[in-house]
Amino acid sequence: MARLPKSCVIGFFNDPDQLVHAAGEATNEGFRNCDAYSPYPIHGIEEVLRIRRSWIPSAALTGLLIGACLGFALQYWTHVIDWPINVGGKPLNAWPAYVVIVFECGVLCSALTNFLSMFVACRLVPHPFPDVIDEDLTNDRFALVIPARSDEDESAATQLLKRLKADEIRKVEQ
Amino acid sequence: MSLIEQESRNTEVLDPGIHDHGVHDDDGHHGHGGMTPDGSEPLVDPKYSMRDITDDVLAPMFKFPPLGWHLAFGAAQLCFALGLVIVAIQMYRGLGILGINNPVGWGVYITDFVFWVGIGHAGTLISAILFLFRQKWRTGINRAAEAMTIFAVQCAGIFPLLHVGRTWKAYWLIPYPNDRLLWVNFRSPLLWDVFAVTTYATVSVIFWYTGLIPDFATVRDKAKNKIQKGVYGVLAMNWRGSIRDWAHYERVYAQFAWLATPLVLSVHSVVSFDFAVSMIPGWHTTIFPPYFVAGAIFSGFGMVITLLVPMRKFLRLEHIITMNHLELCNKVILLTSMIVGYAYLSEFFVAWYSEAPYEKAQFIYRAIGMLDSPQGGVAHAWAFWTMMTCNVFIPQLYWSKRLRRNLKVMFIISIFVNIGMWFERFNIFVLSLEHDFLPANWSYYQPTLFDWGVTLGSFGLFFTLFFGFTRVMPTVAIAEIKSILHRPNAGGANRRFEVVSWPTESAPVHPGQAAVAGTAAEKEDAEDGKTS
Repeated sequence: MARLPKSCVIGFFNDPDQLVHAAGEATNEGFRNCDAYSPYPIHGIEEVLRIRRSWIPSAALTGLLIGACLGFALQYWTHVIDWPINVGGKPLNAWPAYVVIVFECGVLCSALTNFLSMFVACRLVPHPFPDVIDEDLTNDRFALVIPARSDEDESAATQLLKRLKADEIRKVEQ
Repeated sequence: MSLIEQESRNTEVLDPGIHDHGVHDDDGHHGHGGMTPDGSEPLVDPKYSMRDITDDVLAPMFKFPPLGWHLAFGAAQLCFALGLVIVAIQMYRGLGILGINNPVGWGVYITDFVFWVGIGHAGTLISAILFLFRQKWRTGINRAAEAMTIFAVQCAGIFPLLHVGRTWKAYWLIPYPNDRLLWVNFRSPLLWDVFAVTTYATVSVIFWYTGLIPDFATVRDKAKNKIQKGVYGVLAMNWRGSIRDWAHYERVYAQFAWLATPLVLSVHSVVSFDFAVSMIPGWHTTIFPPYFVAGAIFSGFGMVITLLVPMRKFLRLEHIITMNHLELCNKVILLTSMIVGYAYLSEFFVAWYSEAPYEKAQFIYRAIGMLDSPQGGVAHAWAFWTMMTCNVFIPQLYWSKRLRRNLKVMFIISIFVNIGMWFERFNIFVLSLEHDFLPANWSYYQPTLFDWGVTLGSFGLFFTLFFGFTRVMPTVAIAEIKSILHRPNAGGANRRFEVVSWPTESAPVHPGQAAVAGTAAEKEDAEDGKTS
């Protein structure tokens, strides 16, 4: 979960197009670090809000390589170093026979890295009764969160959201 | 939201005509009313709002289940309990009470194992491969199909563990430093299988859970009951739906698809290596990996139809899992039926063309052969012809669009597909072992009631889990389906949403529209390129 800023103005919308439009306007007006909430991923809004690319792909690739290397190391070490058994004069390091397990270990390690990285990146923790902004944000409502450090910011943001015909405007002070 | 809007939503939900869509589809007429301006049919009828989708999918979770569900769930549990008793007896008395003999060491247990692993493949195909091919219609059925995958792999996992005989020592399959100073043999395909199936099970479960997190958050926010709210709150992991989280989430989801695609193809290939790497006539062929994968997808889609046809009716999801979804699944069944049919024939061709006498003898035995036994001549050719009928001949009915779109017909055909695919494995494993190189070795295999009891138990486990799933989890990926909802009124300068429709043959496509569609697709591709 991305954290809400200390004080902010939240505008609610019923339509994803309105949300993208509003996010664009807010960025044009000079508001930085805006966030948006939506029941499903909206494509294109990341560029509007200038959200950086996710770092998870590189983590998953690293996981893939580490897993594959460990898979090969395990087989090489057990069959060649720790307990070499000569089967029909075949080479101890019979690498073609190791390919399947190298692949499986790579995929497993990458998938687990991918999964755990998501928990880290999105700060996911089990929480029975979280304090959600609005219960319909996971249903059919959309929200634009504009951080407001000063009173001028706050009134400007409110003005902007009013102009954009936000369904509802809330001010949050923590 | 205004009061008028809320009222109009309520009347829509109460409208009795709401679930009529499937009936119209039955006779091939589709696209009444809910057409887009360009004449194509949207994936979900535009009259349904996001709120309707949420309410309809979550409705079974917030209601006490009806009597019919309790009866079905109870029957499944009974079968499972019976299976457990038989497993206990088998563990106590040993494998001798099963039908396996020498040389037929792999009987019903291994058949069941491969059958259940195969069932799982359709779920991963729908969730991963169709995702990579941007087949948006998959969103309606992927959740249920992935659930099927996980439950099927659980059922599959039981059989090798029982088959090893001393099940309490099954952990010896895992390589770990031990007092025996021994390592497992990594050059054996049986061990590759251990790694392939456990990896597949793990990745399927975490992929599924990743897809469920936003939907659990929806359940948490909609639940009125305090306990339900808390439980789904824990499962939802504090998910809020921030765009920053969605940006990470979408990458994670896409990567799971990229990992699961080669994985699912590898799993059944590795299962087929258990046979192809050995020397038994009928097993030792290079065609096995693609043949097994096609058969797995075929059987999996059969099970998808078996499960979805009743599920969409009883959970009233006909407007989300539409006739179009089922028809596409049936087309996959037709295609893969022909692939496996081709594989069956090419096995016969190669047996004849290779001039390998044992291979030839094996295939003659499968189709028309007899074995001498004290009771007289016995044969398993009926198993072969059951397989051919169910897998190759019956699915040909799907050339007819009318039959592809008929619920009763597709349900019956899907049962035949399940039976046929079980017998395909039986045919490959048992018949090859019955009739190997030396006539002195030959022996007939007769499963006992214990074999059948454990098989029944595995079906009981599968359906217990699936019936439970339909009541405690969102059976449709709500967040994903919302992203493809057709919103004719939404628009404006910043519109970046594509209109997602079924590819219909009847849709009139004018050259101008085609050009517009082309540019929209290109635009989306460009966006994808930018974000990825």
